[in-house]
Amino acid sequence: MTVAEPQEEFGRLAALATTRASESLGSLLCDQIETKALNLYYLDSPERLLTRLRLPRRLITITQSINGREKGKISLAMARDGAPNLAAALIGRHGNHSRKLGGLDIDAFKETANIVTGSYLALLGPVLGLVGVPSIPAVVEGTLDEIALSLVPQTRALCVEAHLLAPSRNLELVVLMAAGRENKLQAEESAA
Amino acid sequence: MGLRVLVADDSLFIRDLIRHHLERLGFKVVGEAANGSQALSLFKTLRPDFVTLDIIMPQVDGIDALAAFRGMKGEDPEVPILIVSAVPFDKTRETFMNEGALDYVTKPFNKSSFEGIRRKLGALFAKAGKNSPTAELQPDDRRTQ
Repeated sequence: MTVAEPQEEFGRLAALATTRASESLGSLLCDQIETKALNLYYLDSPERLLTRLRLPRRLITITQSINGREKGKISLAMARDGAPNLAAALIGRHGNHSRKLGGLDIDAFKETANIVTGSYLALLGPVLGLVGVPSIPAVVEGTLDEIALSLVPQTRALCVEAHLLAPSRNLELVVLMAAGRENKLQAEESAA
Repeated sequence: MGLRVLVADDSLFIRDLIRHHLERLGFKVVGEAANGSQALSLFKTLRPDFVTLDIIMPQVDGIDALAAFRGMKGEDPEVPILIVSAVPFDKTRETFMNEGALDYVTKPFNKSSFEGIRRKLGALFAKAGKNSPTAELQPDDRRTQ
């Protein structure tokens, strides 16, 4: 895989966007959210994501597409096993959490993803040419092999991968922002 | 009696949150809509005093959020419409503010987001010579004041 260091300023903005997303999640969950890891990398083909992304075996993803000057996708991913826990925290449900997810649970996931997407788009969207209104969130359950290709545009892509933790709830959420490479950063990289 | 509010958002989760905050501030939610078409239809039927409107909702019957916004303003040019959205772009905000939105609240919101709106509505209604929009606060709020 070709991995080049994205621009320093982009890294600073990605870190700031991740902080904002953490604060937004913290506000929704009434909890402290920590950033466990923030990775920036380039993918020279969508398939490379399978070897790059570290996610649980079975997961749920909520993905939004953005078609501005460039094409991009932002996804929120979590382990399937942890999803009932997240739903309960969002909705304020107490007691034993059923493994089965209902309509309101899925709805809460979609809105959470919508809000996280907003945090990233506000800061990184203009830099990447992603300034369109995001699509309605799409929720998918499956294995990473099954889902991975739906998380990135079908081009070379610049990716921001953030792992967010709610330690008190034993929850880990992964944000993946993938933007098509035909953008300013590509030009800057070529010039560097 | 508080202001009568129509809440339009495709997410039941968010509608519940908005209702919670508004009712604690003394508003009365009289209707909920899950898309622009339903919002416009309920607006015509219920004639609410105030509307909250999400801007990313499924388009139904060719009516998206902006069309619903314009439809409601066409029915009642003075009705205050609050945009509640996760879209962070200034351009989107400006579009709706230029169309006459009361304000643009970015998700996630909290109680204080709506307290500011209540003040804004109070000033708006006072200027128009109408009663205060939310005369009664809920018991929890009285305790904390």
